[in-house]
Order: sequence, then C-alpha cells, then structure tokens
Amino acid sequence: MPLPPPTRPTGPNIARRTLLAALAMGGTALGASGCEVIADGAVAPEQAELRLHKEPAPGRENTIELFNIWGGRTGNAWVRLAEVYEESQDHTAVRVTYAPLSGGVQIRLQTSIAAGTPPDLAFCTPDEYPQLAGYGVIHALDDYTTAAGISAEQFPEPVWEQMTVTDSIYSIPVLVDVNFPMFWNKKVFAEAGLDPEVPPATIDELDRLSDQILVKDGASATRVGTVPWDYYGYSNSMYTCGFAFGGSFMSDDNEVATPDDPHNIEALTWMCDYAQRIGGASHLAISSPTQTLPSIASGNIGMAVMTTAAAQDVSLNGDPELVELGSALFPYAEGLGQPGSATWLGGYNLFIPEDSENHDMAWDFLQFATMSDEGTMTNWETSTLVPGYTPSPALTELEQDPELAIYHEALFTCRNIRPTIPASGVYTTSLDVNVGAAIYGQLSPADALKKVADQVNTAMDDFRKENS
Amino acid sequence: MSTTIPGREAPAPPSVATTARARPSRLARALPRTRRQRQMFWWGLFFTSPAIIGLVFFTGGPVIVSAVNSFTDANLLGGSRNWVGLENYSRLLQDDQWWLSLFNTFFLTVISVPLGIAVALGLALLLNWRVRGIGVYRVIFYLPSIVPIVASAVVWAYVLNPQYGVLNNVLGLVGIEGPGWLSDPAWSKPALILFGLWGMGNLMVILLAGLQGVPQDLLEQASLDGAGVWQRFRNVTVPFISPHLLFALITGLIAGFQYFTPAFVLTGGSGDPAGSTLVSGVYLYQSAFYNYELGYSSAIGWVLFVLIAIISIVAYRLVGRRVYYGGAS
Repeated sequence: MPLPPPTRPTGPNIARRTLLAALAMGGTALGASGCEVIADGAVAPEQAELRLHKEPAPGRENTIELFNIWGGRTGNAWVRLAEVYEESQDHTAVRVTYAPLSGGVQIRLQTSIAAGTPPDLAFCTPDEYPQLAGYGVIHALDDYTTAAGISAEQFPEPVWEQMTVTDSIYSIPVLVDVNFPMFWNKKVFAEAGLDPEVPPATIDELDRLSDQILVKDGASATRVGTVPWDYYGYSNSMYTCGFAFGGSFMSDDNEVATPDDPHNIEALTWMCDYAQRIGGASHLAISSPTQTLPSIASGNIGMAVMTTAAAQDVSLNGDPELVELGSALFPYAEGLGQPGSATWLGGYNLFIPEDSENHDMAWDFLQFATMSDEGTMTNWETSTLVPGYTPSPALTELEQDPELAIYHEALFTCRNIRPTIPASGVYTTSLDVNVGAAIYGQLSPADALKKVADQVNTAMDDFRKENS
Repeated sequence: MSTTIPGREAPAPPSVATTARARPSRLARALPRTRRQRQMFWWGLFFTSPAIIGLVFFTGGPVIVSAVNSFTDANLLGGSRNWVGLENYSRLLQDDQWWLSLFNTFFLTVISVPLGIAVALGLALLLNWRVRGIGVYRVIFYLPSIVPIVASAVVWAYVLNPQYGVLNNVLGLVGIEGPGWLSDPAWSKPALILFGLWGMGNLMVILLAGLQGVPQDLLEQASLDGAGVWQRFRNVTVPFISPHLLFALITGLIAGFQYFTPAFVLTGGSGDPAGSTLVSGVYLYQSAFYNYELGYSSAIGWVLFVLIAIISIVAYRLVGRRVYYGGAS
C-alpha cells in the first residue's frame, strides 16, 4: 500500500512558499542589514608569510624540540630564533613544533609531560613554575646557572626576585611583559577639551580627566576615560589597580595569599565606583575596531594599558585620525603609592622539562635565547620581545625607542611580581570570577576579595599537604 | 474440571526439557548455530574489532581510571597519587565555584532544552509543507548544524558584539538598545541560549521525520469532524511525534549537562563575565588543566554523570508513560 503524501495541502501553496522564502531571505536580509564593514579587518598580507613550525636542520649531531605556543609575529619569532641559533653553531638542530594555547592552557605540553615524552624546551608564565617544580616536572638549572656565572646583577630586581622565589632556579625569562604603562589617546583628550600632552599622574587626576572624557548615548557609555576592569582580564586589572593603591597580594614570606589586603579592597572599590560612574560595566558600548587592534584604537577610550606588541600594533596600524598615543607610568593612589608602583611583571619563561632527553643542548639554546646579544636582539627585531637580561642590547634599543621607551622606564622602576606560588592558577581564576562579580555589583569588594583569599589559601594548604 | 475418556488417554504434559527445546533463550537464539552463521559472526567481530578495541581502551579505560582517580589526589602531570577516599566529593559540597557552575548549567539546560525543542518543532512544521523547492529550504535551515561548533562560536562572537554585532544593529533598527551580550552577566546566558538555537538542524530533521509519519487519514478524519488546526496538532500530531519529542528531551537534557564548547570558545574558558558562563564542564576543565587537579576534576565528572543519569531516568519515567507509540506495544 503506497504511503500517504507527507502532508495534506490546506491552502494555496504560494502562501506557504512565500512564508518559507520570506523566513529564509528575510533572515538573511535582516542579518545583512545589521552587518557593518570593518576596515582593515582582514589578515594583513605579511601575516600570511609567517611560519609557526620548523623542521630541524639536517646533519646535526643533536636535535632538540621547542613547543611554540604563539601564532602571528610572536610565533614566527621563535622559528626565526631557531634558525639564527642553528646558524650560530653546527652541533644542534632545533625543531619548532606549533603547540598553541587552548583557552590559555598548554594542552599539548601537559599531555606530553604526563606521557613522559615532553619537548626539550617549553614556555611557562613566570608565576606558574613553582607549581610545576613542586610536581617535579621541571629540571633545576642551578648547575648551569652557576657554571655560567649568572647572578642578580644581570637582571632587573623584580625579574631576579621572581626567578629565585623557590629553592632553585627553574626557568629564565625569555620575554618580559612590563604590566603596564598607561597609554593615552591625545585625540580623545583634545576632543574632550583637555591638554593632550598631559597624562594623569595619580588616580585622582585620572578620575578628573575621565569625568571630562565620558560621553553617554542614552544609557550607553560611548566614550570613556579608561576601563579599569579590562586591563587584560579581571585578574590582571586587579593586580594593576591593587599595586597602584599600595596593595600586596602575598605575605612577606610568600606563604599566605593576601588579596583581601585593605589597600586591594580600596582599589577594587575604586574600580567598582568607576564602573558606576559610567552607568555600570554592562553599559560600556565600546569595542575594538578590528580583530587584532586594542580598543583604544577605536578613538573612544582616553587611556588604556597595552603590551609592547599591542602598542606597536596601534602605532603601525591604527587610524591616525582616531588615535595618537602618548605614554606614561600607570597612575598611583596619592598617599598610598608612588610613580611606577602599579607596575608588575608578566611575560614568559623558558624551562627544560625533567623527562626530556637532551638537557645540555636545551640549556645551550635556552642561554642563547634569553642571555645572548644575538638571541635577544633577534627576538626584539622580529617581534619586539623585551628580554629580562640587563646587558642585552635589546634593552638599549628599548630605551631609545620613541614609542616604547616607557617600558624601559617601567621595567627599571618596577618592584612588584604576580603571586609566584604553587596555586597561581587558582589565584587567577578566582580573581577572574570574584572581581568580575564585584564589578557587576553581585558581591561587595571586601566579600569578593575575601572569597579569593579563602580559595587560594585552601588550595595552597592542599598543595602543601599533597606534596609534603 | 477435566475428564478422561476411557481408551483415549490424555497426552503427557510436556517436560521442562521439551519446553526449553521449544523456546530457546534469547541469548541462545542470538548465537550463531550453523557453520555459515558462525563464520559470519567471526568475520563480523573481525571487522568491528577496531571500534570495539577503541571503545574498550579509549572510552572504557578512561572511565575506569577516572573513577579510581576521583578517590585520589592525582595531578594531571603525573607523579604520585594518594588515596583520599571521599575527600574530593566532600570538597565539592563546600566549593562555591562548583555550586555556581551547577546553577549556570541548570539554568542553561532548563531554558534551552524546551526552547530548542519548540523552535526545532516550529521549523519542522514549516518545512513539512508541500511547496515547490522545499528541499532547498530544508537544506538552508539544516546548514548551520553542520558548521563546526567552534567556527560557529567565532562567528557568533561577532554577531553578539555590542557595538559592531549584527544582532544589536538589527535591534537598533527597531529602536532597541541591545545589551552587551557576552560582557554583561545578566545577558551572557541568554546569549549562549540564543547561540544554541543556531544548531537546531539535527533535531529539526528528526522531528520532521516524525511529522511525516503522522497518518494523514487521521488528520483528515479529524478535519472532517470539525477539528481546527490547533486541535489537530494537539490531539493527532503531537501524540504521533511524542516518541521523537521524548528522544529530544532526553538527549537534550544529557547534552545540556555536558555543555562545554560554546561557553569555552565564546569566553576563552574563563567563565566571564563574573562567572556567569562558568558551566560545570568548563569548571571541570579548569580544575584539570588550569589547576592540574585530576582527582578533583574526575570527581566533578562523576557527580555530573550521576546527576545526568538521575535526571534522565526521572524524565523518562515522568514523560515516557505519556508517549504514544502508534498502537505498538
């Protein structure tokens, strides 16, 4: 028996067809009408030439492997560095394997370590090595650093402090993020009737300038002074503002997390008040002009913090009609901080996994990348990577760079490091959630930071108990 | 009461053994009996062995290991692991982040599952009409579901952009000031729910298949009896597609509690803003890969599994008895 037709017609077909067509076409048209062409949104032609992976040079006695976690110019820099290293000697070849971050996590590195087949060299943030060292997966470098005569004088004070928080040296900074100088947009200042050559030195001045810069369209803030909770995430924002208010995130003996330090609470209160002054964080209607440029390049933000790569990107690719940058140290809270007191160190270190096979050759490359003129200059020239090694000529170039010299000043006035503890990951995620909750009015600043303290100190206790 | 006619003895009752021979067990019936069947059986096993081995080693193995790990302090990077009993599970009870992630997961599931079924059913009803070019329309509405979810999420990050995004610009055309979808804790979960509707194509196709199985003679009879469109839908169509709706409900609940990729891609795995997109799957990921706590994250996984099992069984018991299988037992 033949199957009945799928449906029973109940009206003129044309109406149904029209309805379906209207749904399909209307949706498309509506979507298209909401689209906006973003200039310079495509990948730049020179980006297409970048390489993130490299096979080792043939015919060498040794081969080492480096996991490259970056894309773009920075990713390409490690390939270039490996080539320069191979040209500088004839015994060791370098394979650069692209192993990108996934949500900020080095999945490939973690699984390779767990499987006992790690690369010879890998990156970690300077605050996470104590945890890795605690698990015994990083090779201590003391023998090498002693033999090479490496000492405190060769590094800016906070860089050395961060390298030596634990009982041994486990990793060496290969790029130092000086977090953060403040960049101001002279165009925005001029539009707001402010002196475009005078940045704020203190938090009070920043507030005063912000009030004049603020423009609202209905409930939305369409031009703002700055966005203090958007300095590369809530946790980094909290560190920056906390230090600006003279706060501390760890006890002097580095054993107890102190995010609920009264100065930090004061800083978070200021951040929350700032959000309220623009009508609430959810009413901020400012976005980056392209996929890669920071939001200050939109011409709607007066002041922002940026990494060296981002600052250079704005200088090279920003619309000169919208943005003209000036730079200064991040403002400080009068009576609590001082010029430069907000600055802290981020970046990435190189380390040698314990289970890798060729520690000596890995150290040779590590030393070349982090503490040689040729290696540090290659990184500087290919991707503006700032070394942590004081004698490097790259730091001299940084000091003389008209746009980036502020990073040199910030590096050598910096006194703070991010909590370098075995629970740094918990610290970051807890700050991200709870500081965000305070900014959006779900928690009071004191309660939010108390929760962070409880979570981090519990994690520290657990780590001590499990790894005693 | 039975009687026996002289000279005509009643046949002996069949013995148990006779009965067993007459009705072999289900297992016995399933096993190959002839040489040919046995040959086919072994060849079948041979050709499916890659999948079986994969299932045993890459699914069964990790399941067992994670169950064991949940009672230890194992870390992701190896090293020693110590038996800690139920400590990981008791820690969950005191973990604010866990409760927050569970709330977010429940919120997304409770809203998105019925909404998704409703939208998929609405589309299926539209695409069940007989109009010229219906195949084209079906393809158009199915296409989003075959776009990889990561690629869709990246596109939707732009769609939801508060300043340049299509959605807010469309809302602006009708005078509505759109929110900061992914930057506002109050709107981030609705944004994820909205994004979820984009991939309703698979469910739509399943429901469309169900609609095409609704007997037309019943619809016509109902129509002749004076039933309106709603009455025909309510009393004829819905009962006949109720098995499909049950399937959609159960699989939707399971998928809802395993929700991960869109939240991870759209927020970078941070749970921003203010933890409003920190779903249980993302928290499990954070515990394992940010904090290296393999034992704790395994406990999270097992608690989620038990929750999913309980809720699925309850939903099946509550809704399953209302399902109409077209007269089939």
